[in-house]
Amino acid sequence: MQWNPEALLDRLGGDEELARQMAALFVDECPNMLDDVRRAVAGGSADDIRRVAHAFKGSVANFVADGPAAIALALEHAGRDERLADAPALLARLEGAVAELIPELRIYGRGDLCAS
Amino acid sequence: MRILIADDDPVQRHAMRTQLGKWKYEPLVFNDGKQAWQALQEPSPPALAVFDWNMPGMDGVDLCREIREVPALAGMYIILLTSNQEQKDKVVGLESGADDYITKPFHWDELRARLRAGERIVTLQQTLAARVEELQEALVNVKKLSGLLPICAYCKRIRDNQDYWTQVEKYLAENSEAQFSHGICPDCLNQQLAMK
Repeated sequence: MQWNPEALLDRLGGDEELARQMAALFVDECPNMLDDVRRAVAGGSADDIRRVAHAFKGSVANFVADGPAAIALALEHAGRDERLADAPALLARLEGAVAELIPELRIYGRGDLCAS
Repeated sequence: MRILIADDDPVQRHAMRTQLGKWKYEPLVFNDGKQAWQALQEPSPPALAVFDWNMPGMDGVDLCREIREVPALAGMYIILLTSNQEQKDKVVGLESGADDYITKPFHWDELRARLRAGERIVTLQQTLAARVEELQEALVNVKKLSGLLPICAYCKRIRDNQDYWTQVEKYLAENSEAQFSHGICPDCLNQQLAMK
């Protein structure tokens, strides 16, 4: 996966420093947010799944419109529609997509131009 | 101008704090609706607010509904943030008492423009409220001279609230902004000259 900061920078009016800070913060906070999603799926509460998936989608959508954001939206809808059986597979897809995105954001957040 | 922020997303909170500070606002940032609600119980709460819709505990819509129940917070201008894209969500958001609505992820210039619009409305409301207060005070003074005044049919003195009969001139001076300049009318002048 090749993450492109263009859309984020456009929304921020070109503030690259803030874009990098947001990326670094998301890298730090993402494990906790993903744990919330895992707990909700394991707990089997449709409303909890909807709520935490929505929160995750809102945060990751700062960086990508598809990939993990789209999967989190699908998980949110599964919670909303009480399709609990779909949740574990969506969670697995979400974990995979996040695992691809995080290294890209980590590099960008460090401002490590050589690594990109 | 102070702006109350409630958002459970740490990335969004950081961006909000940075951008609002850059735009010369004073952001008061909270992690959830309950904390923001507690901050609103303090004296002189901010008149402008940005709330995320989905927060654990008290969400943005609950917060809007609670705020609109409090007369002292009636003039507060609230922008609701959400990643809900559906039309019915916008209706629910606005009917809960929000004044404006932005879907995430948004362009920050748009938020700045909407905050400026909110700031103009808040300033206008505050100016109008101060003007209404001034007018109410003026009305109280005007009322002093309205209603039925008991006046003596012969000497023309007026009975005041303490049951004293007072000269018209003195009564008006005490109960209005009127001032007197003393002169003599032609009839009285002739009367006075005739007496001499």
